[in-house]
Amino acid sequence: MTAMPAIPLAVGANRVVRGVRVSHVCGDPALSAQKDWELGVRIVETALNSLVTAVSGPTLFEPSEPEPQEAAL
Amino acid sequence: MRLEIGTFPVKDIVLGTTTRWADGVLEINEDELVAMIMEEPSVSWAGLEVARPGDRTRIMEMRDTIEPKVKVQGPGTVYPGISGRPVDTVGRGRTHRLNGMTIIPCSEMPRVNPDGSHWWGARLEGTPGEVNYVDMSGPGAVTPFSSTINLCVPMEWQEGSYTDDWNRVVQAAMVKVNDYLAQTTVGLEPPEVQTYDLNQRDSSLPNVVFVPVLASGEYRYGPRTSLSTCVYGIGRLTQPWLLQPTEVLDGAICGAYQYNPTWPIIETIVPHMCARHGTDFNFVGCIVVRSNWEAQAEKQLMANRAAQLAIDVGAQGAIVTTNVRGQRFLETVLTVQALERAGINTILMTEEEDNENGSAPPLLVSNPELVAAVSNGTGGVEVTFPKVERVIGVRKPEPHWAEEMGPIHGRYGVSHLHDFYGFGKQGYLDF
Amino acid sequence: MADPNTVVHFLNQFFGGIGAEEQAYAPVQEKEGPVGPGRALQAALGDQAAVVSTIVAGDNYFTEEVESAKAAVAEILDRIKPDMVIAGPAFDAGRYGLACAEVCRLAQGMGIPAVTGMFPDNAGVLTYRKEILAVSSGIDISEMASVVGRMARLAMKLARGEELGPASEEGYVPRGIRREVMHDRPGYERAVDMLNARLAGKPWVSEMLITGYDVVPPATPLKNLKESTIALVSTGGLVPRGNEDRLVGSRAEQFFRYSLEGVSSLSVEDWESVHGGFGTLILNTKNPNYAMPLQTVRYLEDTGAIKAVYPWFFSTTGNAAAVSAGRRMGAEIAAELNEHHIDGVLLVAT
Repeated sequence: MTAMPAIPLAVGANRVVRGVRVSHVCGDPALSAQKDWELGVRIVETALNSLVTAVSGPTLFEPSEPEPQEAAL
Repeated sequence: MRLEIGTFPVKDIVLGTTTRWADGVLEINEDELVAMIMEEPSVSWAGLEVARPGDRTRIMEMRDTIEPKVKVQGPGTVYPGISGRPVDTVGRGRTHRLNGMTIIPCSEMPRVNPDGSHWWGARLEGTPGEVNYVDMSGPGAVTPFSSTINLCVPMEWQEGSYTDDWNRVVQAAMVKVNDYLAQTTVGLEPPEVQTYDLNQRDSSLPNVVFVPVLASGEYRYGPRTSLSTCVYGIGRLTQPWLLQPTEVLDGAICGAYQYNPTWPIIETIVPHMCARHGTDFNFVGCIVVRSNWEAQAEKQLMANRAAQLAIDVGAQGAIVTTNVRGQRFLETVLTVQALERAGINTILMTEEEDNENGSAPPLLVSNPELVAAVSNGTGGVEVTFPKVERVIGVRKPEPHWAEEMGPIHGRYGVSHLHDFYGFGKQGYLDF
Repeated sequence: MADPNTVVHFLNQFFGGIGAEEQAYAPVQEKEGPVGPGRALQAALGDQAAVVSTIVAGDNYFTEEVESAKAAVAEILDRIKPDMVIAGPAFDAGRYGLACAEVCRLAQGMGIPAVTGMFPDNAGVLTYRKEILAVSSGIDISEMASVVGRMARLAMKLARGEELGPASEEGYVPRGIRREVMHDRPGYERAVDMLNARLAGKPWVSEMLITGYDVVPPATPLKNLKESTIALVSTGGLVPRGNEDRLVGSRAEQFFRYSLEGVSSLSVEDWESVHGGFGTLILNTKNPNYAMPLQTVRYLEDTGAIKAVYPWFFSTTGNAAAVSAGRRMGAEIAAELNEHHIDGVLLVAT
């Protein structure tokens, strides 16, 4: 899990998940606490899902986009 | 731009009671210069020491290294922008330089800043660190500064100083000494004048650019830090700068990054490429790429913009350098890749990683487009550095600094030479 | 004058004159003296060496029955006890190149210096780069005479016990061993010269061959996350505040294990990062979980997405670490995790 996927992909890591930034890989303090938490969950879930995915070589997994919010009525 | 460089050779430096240059000898009024440095209240002590090639002397705690220069014609001041100096565009007119000598401010560094950030390596005492010294004689006298006469300016701070603040004081002292010494050449005819007229272009020659990738200290010390190599005084992470090569010769790039000093950036490959302008190629620009971005998309963007600038100036060839290895090396290889993909023949010149007996690659990360590289070795110097008679750099050097020092095995994080710009003949090849 | 060195030459079925593809399964056989390109080899060696015997084998036979083939070759070499073995050149024929590489390794294992020749991307090089000395060839067999000449020259150097110069100068395929050399001019001049050569379309040789990155077979995917125990590793330099273990900020050679028993999140009060390669302010003042997402992983454990978290967290600093140190630490962590039948690992690299 890294903000710099090119490096582990180059050196042979097979399951690589893109994080946010070097100084905060698994979240983003610039977001609200709620959104930061949700982002962290998406990143970790992507990482866990990569463990159940077959890969044939170094593969980059991008954390999924958030579900679209329903417009408030 | 067109720049004339008037060279005043310095064959010796004499510390005395007057300040002037004559027939290759630079005399310095020691008391006057030290008093000027000590006008800054946070300096508790300063000295001047001359280290000559062949001396059994070791210089340590070097904070930066520059050649003294002064503009005698044309806009701006040399080393613009740092220490509050004017930011007028330089690179035109005539610049005088005192060649064969350097100014080396020396000082230990305060360990912290008010925001809690630490000077490099300061967090944990006793960790094996980079070895940062220059031997003026012996088998370890292999840096360019072993062959120049170095005016060292050791300095000490007052109690309670912070890292960044003190660094500003050291830089201010360095440029003060620069101006004071280079002033001795004003009004004199230089023994040697070199003219770089980069306005003249030969359409039968290819256009080339020099692309130094320079780490910014922002990630660690914030955007306004002085602990960064700067362009016109700006050290923060910015998109690439397009400079004229003569701007670089006038010191538009200035400021040490960790143990990487200013001098090699300005005094090695850039004048060499300027000298080949009109013969081998047209030297059409220097594209400064800032590195130490924190997300890969940002690094990629900088590489893309550097390549676009190269295309915009009509470059057909490029030489790319870097100045620190590690994850910020990614900016460097992405830049090489972007240039090659734009059809620009690119050479990467860099130090490389320890081969670890054939089990480690020479570069942390690479890509298929990186096909042409010049290696300046690993930065190691595998000799025994002999005992010395004199240690310069701090007021009271610890005795162990004068002792024999062991061979330095180069690898990331341990480079004695920091030879990113190819000043040395040492290299590395495959066997 | 000293006795000429004795040479055994290895060729495939085609160059050995027994046939083409239809003879690809030809077993190892011996012919007296030089055969086919061996004659050019003999001419190049002059009276310094004599090709006393030629071993011929089919490409397919060698690669498919490699143990039998090697045994047969070993028997011949053991009987003749030549001073040198020369194999090929194989140009870009992959099976032939692999066979040549096997013959060279075998000979070297028997104390006999060996030289081969092939295209740098030949499978023989890609598989055995570090172990063989291969003269660099193109893919066109019309350059046979020149390649053979270079193989002869290199072989004689080996026979005389002379040290080899760099690969680019001696014309052999780089073996991935890099050493310091002293050039005749500074790096910036070499960079400009190389650029000029590229721009003029003249020949040039890079001073670096970029190889050496690991290719690691991927672990088979887990069947079911809900049944899986996950371990957490970070190279972000995270330690309990105070860093009693004195984890270094760079050039780490060790990792440390910290207990996660009863810990559901990393707090700023209890943890800090000592990593020297990036700004650790956010980790140290806001949230250390960004470099090791324990809080999130515990949440997923509580909701049943995963079965459990391994109670030990592995921490080191990924800043200027030697490749060998990284490999060793990884192997040690893996060994412990395998012992405890841990299913998967999340590793955060800052």
